[in-house]
Amino acid sequence: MWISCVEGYSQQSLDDYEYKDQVGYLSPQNEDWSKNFKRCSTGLPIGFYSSPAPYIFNENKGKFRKFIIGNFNGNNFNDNGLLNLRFLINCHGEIGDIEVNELSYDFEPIDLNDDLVHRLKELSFRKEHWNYTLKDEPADFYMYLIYRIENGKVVEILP
Amino acid sequence: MEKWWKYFLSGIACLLISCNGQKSTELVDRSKVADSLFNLDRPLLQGSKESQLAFKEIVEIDPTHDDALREIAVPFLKRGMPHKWLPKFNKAVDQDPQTWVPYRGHHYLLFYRDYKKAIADFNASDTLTTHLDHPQGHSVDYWRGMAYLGLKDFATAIEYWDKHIQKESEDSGEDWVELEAFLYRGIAHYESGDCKKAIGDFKKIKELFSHSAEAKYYWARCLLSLDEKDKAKSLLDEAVLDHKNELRLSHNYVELPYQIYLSDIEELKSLVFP
Repeated sequence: MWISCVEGYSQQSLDDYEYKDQVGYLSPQNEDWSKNFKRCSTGLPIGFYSSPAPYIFNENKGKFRKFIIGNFNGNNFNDNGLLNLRFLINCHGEIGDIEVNELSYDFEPIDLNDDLVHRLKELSFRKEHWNYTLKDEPADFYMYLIYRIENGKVVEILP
Repeated sequence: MEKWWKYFLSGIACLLISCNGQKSTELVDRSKVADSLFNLDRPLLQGSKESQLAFKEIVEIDPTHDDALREIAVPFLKRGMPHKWLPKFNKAVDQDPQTWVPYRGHHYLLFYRDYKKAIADFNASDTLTTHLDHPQGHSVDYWRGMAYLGLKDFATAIEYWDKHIQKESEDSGEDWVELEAFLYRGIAHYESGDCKKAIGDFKKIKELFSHSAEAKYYWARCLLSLDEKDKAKSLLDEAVLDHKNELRLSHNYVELPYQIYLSDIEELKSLVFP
């Protein structure tokens, strides 16, 4: 309010920023992969700061990558872009509160082939990938994955 | 805490309010106030609502404050939200391209493995400043080496690491060169089929740093290709120990290129020495 009298200043639009919640917050209104997904704790999920990788992978990320590359058949697709999955893993290894972003290499929204997206979700969200008993007390884990896809093939899995 | 913050801002606001048209003075004052707020020692968790709001307040005082603009973007980078990170980070780039273009290149490289965009930013930094930039602690030549390795342009990757290692050695001595510079150059030699030069780099790592799971693993792979099995086995045993002692590649937020896992070493051992 006070600064509005300063010449040349234009009020930053609140829409430019996300200030309602913690950056990365995932709404319980989002899609759940596991039926009846419920969080195990009310606190911030483990790994909210930057993901719980590499420890969240059951054994290690190398094994996860081998599984994805070995089981995803990119020959059926010719998409280019990024598939960005953000999700919670609860203390039972169930997946929920998922946000999916299909992006170009410039990080603009695009529409990737639905079957490609579904297949990568199905492969990624398997319970056996996740070390969800990492903590002694019941906890939820914030995790994200970015698949870099070139001509339908997964060429990178991040982070 | 929040109330204190509001009172503090209001106090500064009272000092500043003078709608008398002296724009340049106001700009300087706003910049100083924004700096003083930015440098306050506040125990705010990065990416929390309170932290984001604090940086927003600074940007509202000084819309050109590139450090605050960058801080607003950082949690989106770390939490895997590229589409939200880039437009925010670019606001910092717009204000101070000399500083933030090479950093953006680093982020494109490590967080998104977009090697071409990374190289474009590293190359742009050559003309934006007269000095050699060091985003995130390594020279742009080091990062260009890594980006060209990602593109499988091994010859160009090696050229950049040669340049980087030579400059670091001349400036500070060979023992100041990062282990990773020798490691990645060695991997580029290995990938291009020149095991003699690759082993030269891996030996240098052993001489200067003693331990590196990756150096010993890729060295062993070279020896296996030369049918020197006994030496390779010994190196793989050492690589296991180094890995268990966490003397290996790692990064807080992302997996690094050519990073290996214990299972990679064990699998190679069981394949060659069943």
